[in-house]
Amino acid sequence: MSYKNLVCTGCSCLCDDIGVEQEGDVITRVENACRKGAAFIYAHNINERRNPPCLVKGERGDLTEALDTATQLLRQAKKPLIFGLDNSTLEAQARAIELSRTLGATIDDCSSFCQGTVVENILTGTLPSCSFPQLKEADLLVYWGSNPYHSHPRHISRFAYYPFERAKPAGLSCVDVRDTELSRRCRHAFRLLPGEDRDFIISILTVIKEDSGREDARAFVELLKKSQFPIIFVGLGLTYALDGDFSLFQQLIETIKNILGIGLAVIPMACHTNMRGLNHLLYQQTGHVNKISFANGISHGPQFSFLEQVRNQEADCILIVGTDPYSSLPASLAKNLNRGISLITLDPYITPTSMHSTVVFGGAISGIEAGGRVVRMDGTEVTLSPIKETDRPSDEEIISRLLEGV
Amino acid sequence: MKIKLVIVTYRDAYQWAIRQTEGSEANYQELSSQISMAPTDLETLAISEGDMIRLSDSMGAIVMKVKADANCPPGVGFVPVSSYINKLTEYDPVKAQLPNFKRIEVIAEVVEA
Ligand code: SF4
Repeated sequence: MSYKNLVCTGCSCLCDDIGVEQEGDVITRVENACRKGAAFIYAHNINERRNPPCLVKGERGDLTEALDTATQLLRQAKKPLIFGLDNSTLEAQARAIELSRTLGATIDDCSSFCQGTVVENILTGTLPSCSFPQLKEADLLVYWGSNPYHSHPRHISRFAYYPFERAKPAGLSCVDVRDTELSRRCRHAFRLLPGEDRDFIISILTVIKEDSGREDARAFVELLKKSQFPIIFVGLGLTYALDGDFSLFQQLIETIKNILGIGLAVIPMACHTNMRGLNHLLYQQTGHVNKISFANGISHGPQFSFLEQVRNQEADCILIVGTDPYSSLPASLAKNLNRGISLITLDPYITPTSMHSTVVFGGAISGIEAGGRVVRMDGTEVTLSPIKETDRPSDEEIISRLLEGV
Repeated sequence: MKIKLVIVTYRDAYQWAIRQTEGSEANYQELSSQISMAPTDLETLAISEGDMIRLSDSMGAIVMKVKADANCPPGVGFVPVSSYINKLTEYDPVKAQLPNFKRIEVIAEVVEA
């Protein structure tokens, strides 16, 4: 039996204190992980869940045959699209961007309908942010539109609230549409109706500027006034309530800073392991975090979002990496994926998307079977060291071989 | 009896974990097809916990098992995000270019046994 340390890649908290006991090739015990993390780690042992290393038109093939078929599909495509990569390492993501450039393809990921706008605002300096260790100085933590007990179960215990010995405990607060495990721990929990967040923000602005407004907005401002370094963790609930447009939220942060004199920081509750990594790489190379086309130099715009590409049936070949749009998209959009588009999927696990794909690569799982670097939700780079040897190629190897092929 | 409901989808750690270890099999499907609703909404529909309701919008219709949850505001139902509820989600290409995962307006009606 051996004992190893592991960074959990179950979500973008990337908990780095996970211990596993292994007997031979099998992980028999997992320490410190949450329910999600433990399920994620144990799942790699379950053969029925795993895709075979290579499938071509539903039949098991070898790597060369799968690479040849995939390369041919990508070469023949008039409008190739690369989508996903949020669970891949920075190294794999960099190769995928190179592949997009070579093919003149469009590239996008789940951040275009998740937290991409928040990350872009942080990278451009429009929204102030901080790292997890800086939360030691925070005296108020507000989860807005997020319930970390389900989305990022160790966020509070490992990173935000409990790990620090503070002179005075930080206040815990939340803004949500129902009572949750979190709201029951908050002294101040603000409950809104679905989509009411915009009105709430406008009312907070009115309270700050004109000292009038609804009661809950007044209470929110009073809470802020008692704080010197508040943090807002932006959840999907807020992103969707604002229809992905953060201009009003930016105005709120600026007003809090300029009128109340309070420097606030924002951290996105990014869902996927390394969504922020792809955002960073694309931003460095193109000035935008997602929705990029390399068809004519570099173009960016809503028409290059995966959702628009699928709705308009733009792409004729899609390379899908580590994500399952057949499950995660509205069914009315997902059905367009059946309309004559060649799908090439890289995913360790069997999903409805891999089952509909012409070529499937059941590669190594980042963090367990493959190493590399990833970016945590707070923008910190974390190194993954694999704990198991495997014959399965990593996403980086597969994408590199596709790049050589095209 | 019918009522209007706004459905909010959310991430459920239990359902997520089951999918990791068992895939999209029976247990996952069961957890994905439950709707949490305010007890007052159950009263209005004259149903009890465990009963089935039909949810429909312009995209289609699905059937879900009801859970009474006093944490839910009246008129709002909470459903774990999955391909099942995605049969009803819509995508508005003009307004937000986002799916309405957090605000699906449906009609809820009782399914007779
Ligand atoms: S919080 Fe996220 S990273 Fe940490 S153990 Fe749970 S799933 Fe893994």
